[in-house]
Amino acid sequence: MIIRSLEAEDLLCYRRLRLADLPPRGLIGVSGDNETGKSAIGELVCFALFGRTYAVGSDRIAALVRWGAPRGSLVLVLAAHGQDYEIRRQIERDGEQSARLALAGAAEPLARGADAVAERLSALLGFGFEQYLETFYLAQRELRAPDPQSLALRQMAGVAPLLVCAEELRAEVGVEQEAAQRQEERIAVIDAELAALAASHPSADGVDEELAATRRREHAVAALLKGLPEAAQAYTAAARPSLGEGLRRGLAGLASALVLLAALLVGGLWALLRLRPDLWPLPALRRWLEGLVAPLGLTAEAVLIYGAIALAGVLALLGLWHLARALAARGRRARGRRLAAWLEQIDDLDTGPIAPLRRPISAEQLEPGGVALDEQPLVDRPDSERHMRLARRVLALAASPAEVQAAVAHERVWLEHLVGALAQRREALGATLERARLGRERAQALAAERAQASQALAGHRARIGTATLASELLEGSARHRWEGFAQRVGARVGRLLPHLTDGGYEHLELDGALRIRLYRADKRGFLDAAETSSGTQRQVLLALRLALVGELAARLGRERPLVFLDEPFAFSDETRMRGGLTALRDDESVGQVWVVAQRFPQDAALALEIRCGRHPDTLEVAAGASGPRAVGVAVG
Amino acid sequence: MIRLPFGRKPAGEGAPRPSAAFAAWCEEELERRRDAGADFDQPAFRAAVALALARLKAKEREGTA
Repeated sequence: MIIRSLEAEDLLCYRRLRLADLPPRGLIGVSGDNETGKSAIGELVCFALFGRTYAVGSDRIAALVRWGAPRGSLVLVLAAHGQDYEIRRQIERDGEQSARLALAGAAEPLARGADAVAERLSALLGFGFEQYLETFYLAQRELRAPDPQSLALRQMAGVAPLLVCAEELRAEVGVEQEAAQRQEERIAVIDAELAALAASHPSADGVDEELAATRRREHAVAALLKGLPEAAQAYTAAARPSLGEGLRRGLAGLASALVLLAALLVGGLWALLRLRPDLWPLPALRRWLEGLVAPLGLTAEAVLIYGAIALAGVLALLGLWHLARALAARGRRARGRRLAAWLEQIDDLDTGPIAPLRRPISAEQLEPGGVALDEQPLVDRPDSERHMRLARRVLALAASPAEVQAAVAHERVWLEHLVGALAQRREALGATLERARLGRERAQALAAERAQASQALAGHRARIGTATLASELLEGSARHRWEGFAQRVGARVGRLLPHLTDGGYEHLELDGALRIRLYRADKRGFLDAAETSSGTQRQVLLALRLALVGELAARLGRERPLVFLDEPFAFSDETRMRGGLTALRDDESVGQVWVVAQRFPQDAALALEIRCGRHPDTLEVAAGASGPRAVGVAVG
Repeated sequence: MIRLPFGRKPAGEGAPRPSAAFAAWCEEELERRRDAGADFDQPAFRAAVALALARLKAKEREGTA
């Protein structure tokens, strides 16, 4: 980049400034006494490029307007990348600024507005304001050691993006670590909850079976509660008083025997009358019978046969009566067996431990001073022996209804107590199962959540590892690049310094912080730059500054940049100044070099010298191609 | 005239892009770590390099690199 021309009105000390046809290469010297506007030219160049100066920020830019003028303006034409660009800026007294960037001679601007022009110019030039101050522009008395931590220097060295990325990754690592810690805490909470669940929800193994068994027992007892009274009722309904029943059976048997005997006798008599009618006492019997039934006109044989038939009929009736009684007894025995079977089922019940059953007592007895609940009399539980005795009597149909009813009532009390206890146990088991189910579901949900948290934690840790290593690599690469940068800068300084110090210092060391140590032959050792004279220190810093210029120019790889040095030789003698000017002229890394000084040696290698007047408010220089050295003077 | 041996690169040819320079350095670093003899996690190294390169390239696309 080079400046072709600069025109300004009512800015800084200039009512009018016009510098035209400036030489594209070589040294442009700006000379003059104090306060003749030399540094103002540099400030105006800076303002034209960046909308601000070294001393005046964009928030106080109105200070650039010349005192008494309502506004100031400038036009700078620069050449970059084979094109000429025109920058126009205007500042009002109230600080309002306008700016415009266009190709020279073009009607349409490339950018309007201070911010847009700044952005476009930064892209065009390849550097911004900070880098310009650190390298291409040296303000008056500003010469100082470069700050290795400055963004401009880091950008120059090519390490800025590496370090910015490393810092961003470190910040992300912090965020990931916090997230990982949260996941770890969450997992710990889940583990504690799982442990608490395991303690409060014991295993439900076996509870299912126990619940099913309890239900079966409950159904069995309920069946007993229903069937036992029914069987007892059936037995009772079919029962007969044993004494009466036996007597009737005996009398019936006797009567049957007598009727049978009578029938056999009558039948025998009939047979004798038919076969041996003359046998004694059969004729007398005949006459008696025929006399007995004479009105009927029947023979003795007929009477006997009718008698035998009648007796056979009675015998048959008695036989039927016996049959009926036998069938009834059979039915009673069946009912008795059924009742006995129910009683046997009670013995077969596996109920497990049952709480004692206490006889309920009246409310009056529970009054204060009465019988306490645990002092209630126990109801004894019928045992197997009792069941067996009753069963035997029932099977023998010897148990009376009253006996059976009393026994069954006693059993019912216990069976109802039992079914109540089993129901309670079933409910408790059901509640246990439900708690276990809920606990299992909760544990499964927690396990899933834990797995998710573990996975997230693993992800965080992986990202932490990757980001940490990535930031370490970036920082390592940045260190490597910085070392290379420092070496190159040191090499440049080593080449420049002898010319700037008239051969006084040819060997130096430059560390990673860009601190220079100079070799003094007379002292046979290296000195810190601060141990040298102020003039030498300035030469060293100037060499360092120029080395940075060369490094940035090489890094940008673009055309040679412009350099503006305000009073770089303020503490140098004429010989060193001459040597410095020559070094600047011959530095192939730079293009147009502006140097400000109070005066230049006559034989200084300048392409143009702009001499500022004692009271300048107008300066016009049109150099053109006017020989090896053109001199422009202030007008006014 | 004193000619100083400053190298001047042709216009347009500047320093390599940060991502390219970083990638080249990482390849050298990979070889150094392999040659160091100690076990190191190469997949993790590659992943870290990829992450760093992605960030650098994003900066380059934004124009902030």
